[in-house]
Amino acid sequence: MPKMIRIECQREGGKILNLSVKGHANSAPHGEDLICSAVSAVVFGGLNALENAKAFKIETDEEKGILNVEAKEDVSLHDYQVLDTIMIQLKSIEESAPKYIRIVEKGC
Amino acid sequence: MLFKLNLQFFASKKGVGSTKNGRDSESKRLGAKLSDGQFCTAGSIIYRQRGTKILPGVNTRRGGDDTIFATIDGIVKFERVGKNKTRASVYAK
Repeated sequence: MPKMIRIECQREGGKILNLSVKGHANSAPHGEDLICSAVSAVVFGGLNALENAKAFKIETDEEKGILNVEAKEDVSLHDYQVLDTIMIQLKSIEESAPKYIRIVEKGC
Repeated sequence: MLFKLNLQFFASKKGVGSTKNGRDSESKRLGAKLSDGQFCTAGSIIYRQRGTKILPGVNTRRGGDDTIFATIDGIVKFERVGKNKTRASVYAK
């Protein structure tokens, strides 16, 4: 299990097709981990903003700390922007806590 | 809402269970009570031990709990016996 949260994002034509968040921040004991709560809030809060969640395949595994979001059908511009917003917020967290979170972007 | 927010979703594993270990008996303060060249009186304890790490020597005896004690007043001497054994003796002044 990586000692940090690892975020991978696959883009195509500038749009996010796949977003995966894996790992545990391990910045503090369970219940006091600020980095983890920031990432959890951004990711799950953002996913709640999707207008058509059915257009995505979303898998979660809390024990392993895994979340996978994959675009299936045609996704609305609004929902693409929601994913972009999530990514921008995650980058802000990465900037302030690079030791505990790593973002890898693939595609363009 | 589609997702119930768990702020510790990406936190380390939940609190680990407690251990079954962590017990120990009271220490018995074994070992040498008098050192080589020290004066001692009859009956004084020279070495507390379990088993015969130190053997009884001249003018010393082994008690019921393997304690080595002096049988006369005198000077304590730790001497080698054979290749790797040690004995405690007491020689009169």
